[in-house]
Amino acid sequence: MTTIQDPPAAAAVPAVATAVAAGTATPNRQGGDPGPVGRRTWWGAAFAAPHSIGLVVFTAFPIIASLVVSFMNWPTLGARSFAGIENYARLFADPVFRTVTLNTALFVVLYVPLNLVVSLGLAAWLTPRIAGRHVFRVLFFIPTITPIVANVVVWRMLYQPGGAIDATLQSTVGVHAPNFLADEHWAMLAIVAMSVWQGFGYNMLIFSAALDAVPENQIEASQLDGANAWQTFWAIKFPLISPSVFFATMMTLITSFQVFVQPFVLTKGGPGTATETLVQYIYNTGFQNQQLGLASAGAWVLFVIILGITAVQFLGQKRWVHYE
Amino acid sequence: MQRRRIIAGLAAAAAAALVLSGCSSGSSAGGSQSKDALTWSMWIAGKEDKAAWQKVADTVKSEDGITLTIQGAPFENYFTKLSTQLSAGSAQCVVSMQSLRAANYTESLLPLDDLAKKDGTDLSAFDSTALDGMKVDGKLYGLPYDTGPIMMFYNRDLFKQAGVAEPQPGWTVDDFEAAGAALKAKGITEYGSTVADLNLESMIYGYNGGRVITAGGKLDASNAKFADGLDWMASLVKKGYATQASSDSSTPGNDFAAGKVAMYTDGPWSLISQKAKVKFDLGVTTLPAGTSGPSTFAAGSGFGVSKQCKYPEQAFKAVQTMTSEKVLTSLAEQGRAFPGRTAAQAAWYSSAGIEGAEPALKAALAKSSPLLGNKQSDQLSQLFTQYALQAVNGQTSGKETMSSIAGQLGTQ
Amino acid sequence: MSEAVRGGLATTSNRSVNPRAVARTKTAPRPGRVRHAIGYALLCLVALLFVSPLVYMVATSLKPADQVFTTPPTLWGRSLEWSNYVQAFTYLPFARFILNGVFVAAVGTAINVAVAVLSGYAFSRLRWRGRNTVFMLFLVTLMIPQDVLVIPMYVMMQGFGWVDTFQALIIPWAFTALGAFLIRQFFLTVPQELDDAARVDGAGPVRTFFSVMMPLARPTMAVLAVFSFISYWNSFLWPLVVVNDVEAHGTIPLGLQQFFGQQGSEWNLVMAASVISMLPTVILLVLLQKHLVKGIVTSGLGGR
Repeated sequence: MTTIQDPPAAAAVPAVATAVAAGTATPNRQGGDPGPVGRRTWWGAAFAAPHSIGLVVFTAFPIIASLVVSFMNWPTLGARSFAGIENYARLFADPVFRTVTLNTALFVVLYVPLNLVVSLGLAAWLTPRIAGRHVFRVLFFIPTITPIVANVVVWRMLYQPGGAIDATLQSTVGVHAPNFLADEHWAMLAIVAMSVWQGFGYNMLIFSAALDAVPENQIEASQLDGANAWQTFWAIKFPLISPSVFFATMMTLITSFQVFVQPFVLTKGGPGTATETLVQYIYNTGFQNQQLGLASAGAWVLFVIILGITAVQFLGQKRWVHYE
Repeated sequence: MQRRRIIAGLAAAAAAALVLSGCSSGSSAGGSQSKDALTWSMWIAGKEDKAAWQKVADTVKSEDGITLTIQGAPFENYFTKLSTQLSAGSAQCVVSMQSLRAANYTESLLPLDDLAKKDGTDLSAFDSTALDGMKVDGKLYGLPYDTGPIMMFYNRDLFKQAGVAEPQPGWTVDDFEAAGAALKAKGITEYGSTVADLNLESMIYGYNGGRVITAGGKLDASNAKFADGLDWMASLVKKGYATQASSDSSTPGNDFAAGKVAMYTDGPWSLISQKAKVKFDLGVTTLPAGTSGPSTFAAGSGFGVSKQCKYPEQAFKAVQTMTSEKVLTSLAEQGRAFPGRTAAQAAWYSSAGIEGAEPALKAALAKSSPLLGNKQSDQLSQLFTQYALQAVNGQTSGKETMSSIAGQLGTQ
Repeated sequence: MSEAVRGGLATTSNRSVNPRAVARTKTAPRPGRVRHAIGYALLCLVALLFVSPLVYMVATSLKPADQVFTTPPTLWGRSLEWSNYVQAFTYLPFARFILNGVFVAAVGTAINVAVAVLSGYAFSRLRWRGRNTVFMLFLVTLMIPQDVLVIPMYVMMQGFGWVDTFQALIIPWAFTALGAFLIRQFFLTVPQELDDAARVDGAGPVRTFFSVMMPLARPTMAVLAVFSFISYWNSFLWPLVVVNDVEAHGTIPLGLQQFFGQQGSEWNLVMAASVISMLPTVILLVLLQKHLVKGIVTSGLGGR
């Protein structure tokens, strides 16, 4: 039960908690009286232990190991030696490394906004008034679970000379479409388009559920006041779903920096290095050129970049994320 | 609550049971090898494939008393996996190896020359191209099981439809281009362009003898003739005789099967499966010969023994049986591989059932050189896919492309 | 900005009936209905556009082998080869791959949900030293790319003797931190009164958790289960590296690769197999959709 006035205290907890998660709130501001369970006990550590141990063994340990490897000259087959910061120096001096970092940044800049716009737009369109919205939601989600092998076949068919786009353009307008995947100006855009198609389902589901939770009477009230759908969305709905927009943006950014499979299977990084991404560079260095030390160094550079971007996001959220 | 607990408990028990069964089967594979039980890594595609190789393993069991356990990986990813296993010290004893890549694995494979001498293996019974393919720096790293020169597969029906004479073994580049013009006049694209390393290098080798890996196995990325060859392939695309190249190496084969192009380059290993797939009459001939006469590259595969193997002599014995005349003839009869043993090759010709295959293959083999591998071959192959694509599609010149490639090979 | 609007709303509700609003409601229905119908048709068109690649996928799976790549692309081949679906199972031990995949994904998901529920609860309802630091570290692990971990993880599997086992497929990825984050978000929405009530009843932390808290978290657990299942189901690089006996332990993405042989590839079978491989996740999705929506809302990913 909600009213137009400020929501009751219980709902203040998620806002505060999310703030704690963001690291911007002080630990003392916990909603409600802690009580005996809220006393500092060792139960907390005990409950968190299985997960923590698992993470330490299976994530922390390998990532520290890969940090160590990044300071070494470590060919897959052959002798290993200590190399200090030589690997990192090589990376920053390599023009291809710079290119792939820029390519990855380009992908992120194109993909993330497009993904968010499409998923938010479709989620907003699928209001409860639409008949059969459950069916639509499942349909839009299916691309996220299609095997990449099958996606590649379909999208190649779309993009290649003589493919669906080319043939349609020929028959309607009479011009040839560019060879998208082999043209250095179009290749990245083509890959972004396919990635958005494949990836927007997750965010759409999240936004759709979040929009469902917006109190109906607030929407009605704004409509009575004369606001149209567009104004209602931006004035009422968006601020209320901004925590989920923040979460989705953060996760989408993190995963988009790690993009590898789509460009690798569609263009193998070509033409030239137009679509080669950072993770492909790491993969080539490790599995093809068999230089594990250099590959680990590249992976750590990527990790630091992602950390930095996420930190910036957390710091910036106060300005636009609207916690109740 | 009570019922959910019971269900949860049962599920956990079932899970544990399956895990345990997985556990036990896991411990028997990979690692625990003995004198009579060795592991063999091989690329496998499908049940039929597996059954055929299992028969080979069974032959080894009956002849040598050694039980070979096949550990298969999909061909696309076989070498990624092999490298990982080798670096972690858990590689199999018998290792399937391609001639193209042998140079990358010299540190992990046992040179077989001494074992061969000790056992009195008759190496001359093997096809010389096949055997040379398994050698790096004069040392033998595996016994060959199949070999194959790169050939041109063509669509007999399309040629007949266009009224163009069928290509004969030994035809020249001029014949090739003339046929291209004639086919184009009838609205047919002659050739499916490729940038896959083996096929691309063979086409250019046939055109003017240009090669990026010298006869000594050294990398020569700034080879001027090769750059000219790239420009020639670009001219084919420009004139409309050839399709634009794609980064997907299976595209020319797919286009050929769909009747989109009249011919494409491939090796005998694909011949039987393409024949089964296509609905038209399939023919095969040599690559167009240019200024240095008919020539093509051959590649093959064989079986080697990894240095990590604790029982190299037994492994070598198994390898000998796997490449014996009996086994290779049987494989040839199944239409699986063009055998690396000269004596077994006749069986392949008769089972292939493709008119004109025998003279074409013989002609190609006579003029083929093994494509030697190099430590940077994998990288070269990747760079071809990225850069040679631009050259063939006319976006950059052959010279620019090769200098980009050379630059990248130099830094790494 | 929202405050201003809401301030405006507050004043509106205090006024008497707004003549503008009345006029609007009188004229709203008819153009509204037509507009709604047009909007719906547009939505269907957009949906069709988005779904067309999937339609093409299914259509390709029914084509004969040589017609998969015709130019220009056709939807149907000369015949509908339902046999492709049968062949997918005979060409490869595909049923076994499905079984392996379901097993790995189910067990992995179960472990993931179990540990995440425990730790999510610990991060939100219990106070203990170092809680926030540990949670920060959990979040940091979310940003580590999987490809980085593959080789050190493989060496570790060797050390444990887990190469080519189900444990190696399941356990390394059963501890991802996303679950802890989601569950924690949810528990923060649960009012403190429930803890107090349980305490009054004499329940200790363990009983409170199992009897009171965990049942409430079921929708969020459903969300986590779906995401986790999908992640296991589609994972390729790790199974490739760690599985030797593909038939015994291979999962579907690994299995699909087997259609691409050195001697040529069976594209139509690949498509058929891909369609089949999507079914379990679609079924899971349909079954859990209601829970999913509720779970997303209550995990604090929703607006409130």
